[in-house]
Amino acid sequence: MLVETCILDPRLVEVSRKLGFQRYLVETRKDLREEGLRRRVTLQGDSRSASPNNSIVFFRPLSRGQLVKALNDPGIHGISVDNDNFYLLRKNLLNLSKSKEKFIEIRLSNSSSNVIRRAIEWGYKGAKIVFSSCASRISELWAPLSLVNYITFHGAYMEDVISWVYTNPLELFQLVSDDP
Amino acid sequence: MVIVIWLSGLTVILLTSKNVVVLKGRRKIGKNKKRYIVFRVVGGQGQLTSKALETSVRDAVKEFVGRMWLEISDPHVIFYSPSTMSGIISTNRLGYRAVLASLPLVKSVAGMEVLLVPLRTTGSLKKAKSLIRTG
Repeated sequence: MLVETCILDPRLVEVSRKLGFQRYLVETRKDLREEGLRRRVTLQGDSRSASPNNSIVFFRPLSRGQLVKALNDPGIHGISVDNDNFYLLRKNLLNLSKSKEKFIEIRLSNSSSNVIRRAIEWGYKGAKIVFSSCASRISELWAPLSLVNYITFHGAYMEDVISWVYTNPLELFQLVSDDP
Repeated sequence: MVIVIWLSGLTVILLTSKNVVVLKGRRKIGKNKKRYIVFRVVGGQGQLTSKALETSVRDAVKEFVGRMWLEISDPHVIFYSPSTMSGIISTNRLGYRAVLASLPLVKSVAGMEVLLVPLRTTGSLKKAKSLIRTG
């Protein structure tokens, strides 16, 4: 079952369905009643507003201190990484993220090939990698077949890519239940 | 005499299989066969042409992997049906991964915001056309 791990505009769910996705994590603070949709929240910097219940919480750190705090916070499910903050995740913090079982999300809309290459290295070291489109427009969405080939073209083995694109997002989706 | 020929034959087979001796002309380059990518266009309200699509796809491949891979993959939109909004890109076995990976980088075609979604890759044009017909 394919899971799109980040959609910024809920109207893109229909388009995403045409691409082959069956489950979606939508960035919103509103209640989602539709089946197959779950809410996610991305916290950033020092803003620690209370996240709604039954939502998957990501944190986008802007400094090393924030990253360490987020990795030790049990209420945060994953770390959001892109061009601006990928350098924060060094060896010791990567090991911490593995021991705390945090997901590492790569935002494709703002990630260069350098970030993708680093993410492949993290994946090989056992980190739970997911690739998110974080689309707010149609043209920012990524079809699964394109995504698999995009990562493979950066030097990853196909079997690992399959687990990052299929298995890890499903595991993330199942972290929280639908029940209020 | 027969035993000597037999033993020398066995020796040659053994040495060449272990790559101890490389016979001249052993290296072969596989034929770079055609691959066809069946795709669908999402978004884009107006009439798109295969020429405009091809230009966008080639620009995207060049942007992502450069001129060398553009020339190796040599993508061409050989068929596009505006009614079903689907089409076929011809490329080859060496370069089809580069084309597939570059398709999300096509953000617009002829000024219209679109998304190109690859559906299947196949080795025969006949199969690709039948995939479009069956939807």
